Amino acid sequence: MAESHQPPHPFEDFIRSFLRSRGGVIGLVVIVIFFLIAIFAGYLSPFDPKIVFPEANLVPPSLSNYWLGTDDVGRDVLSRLLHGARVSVTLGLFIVFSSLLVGVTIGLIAGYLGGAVDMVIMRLTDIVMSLPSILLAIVVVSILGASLGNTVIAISIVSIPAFVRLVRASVLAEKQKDYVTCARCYGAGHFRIAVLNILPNCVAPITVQATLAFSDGILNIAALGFLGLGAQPPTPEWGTMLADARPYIVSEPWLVIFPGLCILIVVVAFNLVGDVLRDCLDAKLKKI
Amino acid sequence: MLVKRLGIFVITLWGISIVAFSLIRIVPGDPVMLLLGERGASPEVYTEMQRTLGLDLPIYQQYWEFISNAVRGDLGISVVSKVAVVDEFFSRFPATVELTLVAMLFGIVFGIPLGMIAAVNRNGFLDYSVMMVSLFGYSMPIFWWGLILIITFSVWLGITPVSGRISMIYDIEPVTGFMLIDSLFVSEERWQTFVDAVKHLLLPAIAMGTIPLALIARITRSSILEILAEDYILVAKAKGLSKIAVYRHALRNALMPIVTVIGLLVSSLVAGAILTETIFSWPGIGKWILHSITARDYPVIQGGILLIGAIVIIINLTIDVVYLSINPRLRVTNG
Repeated sequence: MAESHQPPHPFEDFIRSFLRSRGGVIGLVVIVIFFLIAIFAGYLSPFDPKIVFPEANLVPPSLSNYWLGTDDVGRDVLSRLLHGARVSVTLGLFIVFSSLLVGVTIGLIAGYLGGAVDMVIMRLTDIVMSLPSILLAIVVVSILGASLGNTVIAISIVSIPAFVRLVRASVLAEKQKDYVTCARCYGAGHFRIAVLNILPNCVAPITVQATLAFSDGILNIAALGFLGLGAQPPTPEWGTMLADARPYIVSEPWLVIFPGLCILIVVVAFNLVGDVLRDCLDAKLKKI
Repeated sequence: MLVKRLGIFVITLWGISIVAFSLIRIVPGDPVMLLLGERGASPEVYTEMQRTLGLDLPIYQQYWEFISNAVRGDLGISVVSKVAVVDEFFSRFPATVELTLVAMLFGIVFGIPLGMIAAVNRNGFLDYSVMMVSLFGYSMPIFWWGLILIITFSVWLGITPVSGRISMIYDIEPVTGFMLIDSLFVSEERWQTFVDAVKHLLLPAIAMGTIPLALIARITRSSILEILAEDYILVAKAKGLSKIAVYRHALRNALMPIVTVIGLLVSSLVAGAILTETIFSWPGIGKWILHSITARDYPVIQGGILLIGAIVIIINLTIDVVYLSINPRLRVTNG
């Protein structure tokens, strides 16, 4: 029973406070379901998302054959939505990891080195951030050509500055602390101090930003798809499905409602988890 | 302090000019060939086109041309419409400004009271409801939200028009470029014209104002909660001030972070304008630049990016200056 007198490990403390929040748990459950759907879309879908039933186009939702109806060329909407989850997960993960990797590296360099390097990097992020991300992404995609791969590149680029700023700010704060001075006194090199000592202490804000970057990424993928610059038909992507459904807004509104609902639910879940993570990890807010 | 901000402003603007200039020049393939079409053209036409676009000069000279003309207010001529880019921009600009202002107004008028209600009923049912609405609000894919608004209010209820700024039957003279004001200048049926303009503006403004509303409600709540924990509020309460007087104190001090958030929203509002204007066929900057990108109208893309970036950083600079003048505490520190 000796351990019970020790304060709980910070990670354990964090898990406890996360599980105490109902919103965070609900969001997490939705995200897990979303990932499971993405992985098992092939088994869950009643039909092939790309297969066309010419005799059954624009069938309204019903319990008989096509649960959520069929689109204008006669493809099963439910199967396309389930496979759309797969597209969103894959691209979202790619966007988060690539922008995180690049952004954290640049932010670490800027914060740790400071001086002229820091100034140049900060001015560059100022420039990118003063242009609306979706505009920049649209221009980049139109330069590279409309495709899913180029969408991912464009959105990854516009997601980088947020990571840079955040990591830089936390590195600046951590750099002043005693453990860094201590490491320096022991003769640790710059790389060792920056990557092994400072970086692990910046994990909390990076985690929060990663969840928010995921939801932003999903929104941007769908927005570009909606504008006809993202996934190209017949790829089942939620934004592209919305764009295809637009002409039927009066006669077949369900075609418009379902894809957007999927986007909304997933984005809400990620934002919910992001908010709760921030509250749990932010000691200042905890006290209030 | 102010000099430093101005310095950063100039450097950022210069950086944006380089981004705008180089983005359209790293296109794989020849922009001249793209503009002339697949069928190809005689060498004379090709050279002529290259000269009008200024693409026959070396790259540093092209940039010098671009930047020295830009300083004089000349951003070239649209390839598609043959109209000066600056003229095209400023003929559409009022439409976007009008939409953005009304959207922001919508966000502020509903956002601040909602945030206050949530803060006052902390951890109560109303607080959770407001936070829930806010969560859905800022997660909203606005291109979908716009379509849902159209389905509900235009298709089912039939109370608002689907697109545009004004019905075709009204002939509006663009005096200010703001449809709400211009519609009041017509000689007959003044009231109906104004109502028509309002009806056209309603759905796009709601679609575009939803994310600002959600964020403003959130920041109002959290900044009021933070202020309520301050000592001077305790003093005010101890002095026996009425509840309303205490909250008036709190709101006034909570306004500072709210102003900051509104400033930070500017760049994302432009993003919202692109999507909203596309859905509602609103003849503003967003629809224009998107259309120019798909038409590969290079002078317009280049000039448009520069102008949009310039406007965003001018607004941010203005907010910084206002912020400094209303909050003396910031003047001493060099942050």
